Amino acid sequence: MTPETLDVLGGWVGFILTLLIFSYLLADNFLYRLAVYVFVGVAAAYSAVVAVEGVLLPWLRGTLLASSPQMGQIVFGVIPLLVGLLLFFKSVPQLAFVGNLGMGFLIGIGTAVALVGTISGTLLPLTYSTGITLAEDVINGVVIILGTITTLLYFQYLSVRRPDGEVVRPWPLRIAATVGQVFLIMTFASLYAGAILSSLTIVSERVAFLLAQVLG
Amino acid sequence: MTDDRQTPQGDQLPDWLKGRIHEQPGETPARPEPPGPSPADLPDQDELDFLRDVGGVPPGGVREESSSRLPGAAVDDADLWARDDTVEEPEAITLRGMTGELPWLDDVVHDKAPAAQEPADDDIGGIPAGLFEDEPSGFEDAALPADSGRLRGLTGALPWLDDQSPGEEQPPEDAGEMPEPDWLDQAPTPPSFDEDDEELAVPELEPEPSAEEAEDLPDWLDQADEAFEEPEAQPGEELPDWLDSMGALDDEDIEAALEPGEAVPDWLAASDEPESEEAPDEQPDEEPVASEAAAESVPDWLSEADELEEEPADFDFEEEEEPVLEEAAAAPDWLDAEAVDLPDEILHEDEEEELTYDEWQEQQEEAVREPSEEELLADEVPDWFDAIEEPGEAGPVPAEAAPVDEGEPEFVPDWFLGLEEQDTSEAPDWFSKIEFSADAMTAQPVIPEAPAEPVQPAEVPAAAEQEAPDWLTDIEEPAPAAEAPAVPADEVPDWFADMAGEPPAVEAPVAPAAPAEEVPDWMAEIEETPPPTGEPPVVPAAPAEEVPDWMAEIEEAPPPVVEPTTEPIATGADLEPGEAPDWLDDLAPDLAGAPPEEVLKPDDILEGGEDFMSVIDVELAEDGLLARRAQEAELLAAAGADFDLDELLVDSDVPLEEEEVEIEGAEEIPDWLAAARPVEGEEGVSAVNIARRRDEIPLDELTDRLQTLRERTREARDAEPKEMAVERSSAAEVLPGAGDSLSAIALFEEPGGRQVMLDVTLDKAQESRVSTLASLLGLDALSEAAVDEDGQPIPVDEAREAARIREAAQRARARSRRKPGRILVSLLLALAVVLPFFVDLSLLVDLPEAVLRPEVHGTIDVEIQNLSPGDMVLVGFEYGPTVAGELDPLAEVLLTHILLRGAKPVVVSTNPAGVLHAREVLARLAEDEFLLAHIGHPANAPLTMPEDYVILPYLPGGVVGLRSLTATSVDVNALDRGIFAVDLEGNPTGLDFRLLQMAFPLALTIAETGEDVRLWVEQVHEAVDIPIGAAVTGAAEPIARPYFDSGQLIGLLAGYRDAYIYDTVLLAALPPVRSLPEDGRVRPRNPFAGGDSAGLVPSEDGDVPAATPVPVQLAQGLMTNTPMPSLTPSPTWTPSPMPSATESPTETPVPSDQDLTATALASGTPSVAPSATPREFITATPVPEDGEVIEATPTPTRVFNGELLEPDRTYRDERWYSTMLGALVATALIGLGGIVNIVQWIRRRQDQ
Repeated sequence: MTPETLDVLGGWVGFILTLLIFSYLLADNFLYRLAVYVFVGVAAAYSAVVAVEGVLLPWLRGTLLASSPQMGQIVFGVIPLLVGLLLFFKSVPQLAFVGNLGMGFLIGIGTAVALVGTISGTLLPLTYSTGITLAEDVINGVVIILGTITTLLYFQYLSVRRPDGEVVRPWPLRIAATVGQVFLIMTFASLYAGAILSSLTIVSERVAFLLAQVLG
Repeated sequence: MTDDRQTPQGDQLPDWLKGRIHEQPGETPARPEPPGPSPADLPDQDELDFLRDVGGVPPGGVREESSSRLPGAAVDDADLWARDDTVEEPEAITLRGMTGELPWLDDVVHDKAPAAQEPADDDIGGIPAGLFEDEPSGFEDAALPADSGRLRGLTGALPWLDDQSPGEEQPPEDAGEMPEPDWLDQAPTPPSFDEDDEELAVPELEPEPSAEEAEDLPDWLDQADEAFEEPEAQPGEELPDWLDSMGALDDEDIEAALEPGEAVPDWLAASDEPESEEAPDEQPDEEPVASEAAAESVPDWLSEADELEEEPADFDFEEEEEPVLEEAAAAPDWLDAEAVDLPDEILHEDEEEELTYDEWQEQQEEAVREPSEEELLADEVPDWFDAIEEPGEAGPVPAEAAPVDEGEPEFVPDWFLGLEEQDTSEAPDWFSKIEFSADAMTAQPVIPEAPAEPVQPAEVPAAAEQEAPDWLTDIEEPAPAAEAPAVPADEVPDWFADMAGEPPAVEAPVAPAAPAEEVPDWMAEIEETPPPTGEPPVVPAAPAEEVPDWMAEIEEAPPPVVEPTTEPIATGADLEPGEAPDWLDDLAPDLAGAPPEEVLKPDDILEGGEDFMSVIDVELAEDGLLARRAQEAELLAAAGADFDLDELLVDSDVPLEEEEVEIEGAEEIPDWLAAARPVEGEEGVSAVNIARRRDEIPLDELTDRLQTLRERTREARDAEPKEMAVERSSAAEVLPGAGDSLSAIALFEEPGGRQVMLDVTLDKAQESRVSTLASLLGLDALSEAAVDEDGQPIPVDEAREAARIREAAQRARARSRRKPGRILVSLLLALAVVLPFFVDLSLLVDLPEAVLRPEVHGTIDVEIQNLSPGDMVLVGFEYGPTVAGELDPLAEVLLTHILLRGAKPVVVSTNPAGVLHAREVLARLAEDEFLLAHIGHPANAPLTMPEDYVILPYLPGGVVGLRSLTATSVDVNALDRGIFAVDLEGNPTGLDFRLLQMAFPLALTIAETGEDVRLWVEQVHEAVDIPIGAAVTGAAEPIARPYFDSGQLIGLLAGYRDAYIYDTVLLAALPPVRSLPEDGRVRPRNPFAGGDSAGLVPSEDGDVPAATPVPVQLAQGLMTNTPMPSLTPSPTWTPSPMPSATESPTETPVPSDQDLTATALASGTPSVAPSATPREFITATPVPEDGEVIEATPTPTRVFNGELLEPDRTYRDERWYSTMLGALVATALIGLGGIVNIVQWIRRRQDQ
């Protein structure tokens, strides 16, 4: 089977799978689920293959399976392997605590990396950018600052207990939270609009694909 | 009038007239000559005054008002009729007074009015015809169609009466054509009457009472007769007071009254003839029918009274006193009371002796006239009441004759009207058993003497007990059972005694607002004794407002004391104490005291195949009233027992006495409600039956949910012994007996004293959430992990939970199926998306402006344009096939630009699918002939990896992997070269660098989500100062935009719009290109490719000359961070049309390799307009730093005169139109949905 034939065949398979996915418009049916299962199965299988072929085997080939490996290569190859093996203990409840070591290692490293990146890559730069924007464009800066502050205040839950025992939020906070809620609504609306636009773009691409497949 | 007289009145004759009017004079020769009526016997003025006083006669007197009064004026007619009788007998006056003071009885008399007129008819037999011929208003001349119709209506208009007299001929409507009745034919031809001929006028006025008639005499009539016949012989203490006064009558007056008057009608004489026992046998067959029919319209007791008053002379009261007293109960006591008024009339009776026959005749004529409506309405008010209230205003009744309802018997109550037209099949059993025949309605119920079998209606005589409904007999029977034995027949009840001792106006029934017609004659019998209270069920159709006040008084009377029945009914069914509603106790007080085992269940009776009413009749015969009442009580009790509401509310543990308190007011349950009770096996349409059938759904037909609930309920009940008493008691306090069914959450007490809640009632939404969570989290894992405080696993009914999950999944699928709105929206969107592929919508939607604005898109194009050949661009491919339709155009245009610049994209992805997809995209670009032609690759020499591009393996670890990417030091000597060591296919990449930022002047991330952009910014941009540009989807743009605004991203491209713009700009900058030879040995030097190309230089007019050497700008500025001209065209820049695909290859001679010696000099005046952004401002003359103009000497290449190529941009514009139109439709749908939601919200608020 030539590559051209495979391409044509692959195109028709994609055409059929696309129709199966579109059948969800009518109802949740077996054909739709079949296409989804195929996609998920293929993606999972490919991910596994990629993990093995693209991660594990190269790692082993470069360390433990390297020709005449050095001690450093062996150690460097064994430690990650052992940590990875510890994760298998999580499947056994009685030995789950053993796998906690590997999980702790992963979570600790990941949290640390993410936290550092968040602070250095998001929190500080965005705060700084907001301040800079206020200096450059007052109106835009005020809007950005107002939106940022009020949105943050919306997610704070500090309240004041009145003498009668009633717990209420101070009125400035309530107003600020309301304004922040408006900003949140606008943000979610823009996200929703972008999502719709993305979906329509994808649909149009599929339609174009189908037409190209059919009409040539 | 004449017709009235010609109308056969025999059907309206009372019983006492039966057989007499046709008796031949010779048949009773031994009968003493009665005193014939004469004008002198007619009431005189004094008597009329008396009648006027009592409301019977208007002040105008008989003579004056006779012309204006109608025979329908029952009171007066009765007066006249009675007056005729009183000529001879004071008892007749008693009757007159009786009828005159009781309006309801006037109806009876009104029916009898023709009978009162019957004397005229009867006179036909006894009066010579010449008498009538001499009359000015002879029978032939007068016409009373109303009367005739009315008379006819008495028999013909009543279907039930027709049934009773099938052989009776209906009188014709035309009075003139009215045939002469048979009984008239058989009657002797009356001789010519002469006033002087008294013998002919009153041939037989002295009746001979038979023994039967004597027995039928009521006691009060006996007393009256005695007062008349033997006033002196009767002791005063044995007679009522009024009889005492009667006894004071002058014998002379009586004798004068007994004298045969010339004006005495023959009918009276005939009626006064003693009825011999042989007479019925001697008469023709038709006559008894007629007379019997006449008796149907008159109550028997009244007929008997009339009969008695006709024949008092020869009656031996002393001998017949006892039987008469026994029958005295048939006569209302109040009737006796009314007789108190008689003495006054009697005293003035002699004043009527001056009445001539003409006057009497006029009275008779007026007596048979039909009353008008006003008279009828006036008659509804008792005359005695009028006399009391307005004694002096009793004016004459309007003379105009009004049509009278012919078919409506006046003794039938209003509530009965229309019932005979109803379908009897739909009537309840008790109603169907009621006999509405005339006999049944008029005759007194006679209880048969313990018949062995139920008495069939056909077998019962006309005057049998079944002539009256059973329920009516129930009403009238208690009195003789309870009170009648205790009260002597000749004694007057207390209430009557009070009334008799006082003026009638005071002691009369209070405000008899109900019309007299509404009171049937048989109902009058009720007044003999106070009926028991609480009898609404026996009068099903009678509204409360139609019940006269006097009936209300009757109802208010104390219930009779009835002895409880102790004999079991034949069927032997038992009545449970709790089955009898409280209100039934009022109906049958004896039922409560009766042993439960002695009472029948009606269902049992019916199940026995016997007629329920027949059984009742049997009991009526055997046990009398008590048994029947007991059965009726059982029937109603069964109705109440089957009532679901009772079952729901009544706690079986509650004693019967408590139920009485709770169901107080149930006695007001009407019959229609009792009749609506569900019946076994009956396909009723009542709500109760529907509810009953619903409750009786078979178990296998229950839904799974109900069955599950049933099982759970059963389980909970099984554990009831451990149930907390506190919870039960609290529920019982609120709703006694309903605690079990209403307790939603049952608390159970474990052995350790811990209160647990085994079953929680969840609503549908909660169950759905639980099912969803269970399916998402995994029920098995939850089951295993569910342990109690002691570490013991809590057992979970996996089957039940699994069933619940399956049920939730089914519901979810069902919900997904039942959404036509979604299908409609999808179809509309699909139509909007597909339509642009077939219809040109360029006029509707504009294409995006092909301008890459730095403030919006950043400087990605500039950064790429500044790339030098051989530079590496780190491209993060963070998306998979899911958003390929949106991001592939962006990825392709960016990679194309990078490849055109001769740079090497190094693709890395933290998404395994992204890696795979990146390979697909690059593989497609690697074979793009247009791109290859531009970069100097022949079509058969696609781009390869890792020479032209590198796809790194999947980068695991997510954020950690990205962070590690920046720390990778690719060194051939390094111990770990990391991900950069090999490509996706495992081949060595050949990359050798120590610092990432030194190896990659530009990094691009093509991300599906904003999170991917953030990670790249946080981990890559902040770790190594590499300019990063982002290409994201439209959904991720809002999140990625802040990083662009903060300067952390050098550019941001979002969605298909920016891809279209970028591609348009890029294609506009590209010169036309022709296909290259496939030998692969010669690669044309594309000015856009290679490290020496700096940017696109379109022409002023936007056209890029084909195959024209373009100025080449050095990319030196890229290395020195010198701002390079961006791809942002001037505002006037327009994309140049691409060459047509059908364009033939140019025929311009292409110089050979040797000919390509021309030196392309860098133009000192680039045609690219400066950017609007100062930062992006492009100098008109980009000069290298050294200020020298470098003469670029292009490498001589072979020029292949190939085919002019064009990029493959199939459906590019159509996709844009499709996306935009779909967005518009989606916006419209969302807006419409929002409006609908707002409207619904407003409606909900309004409803609330």
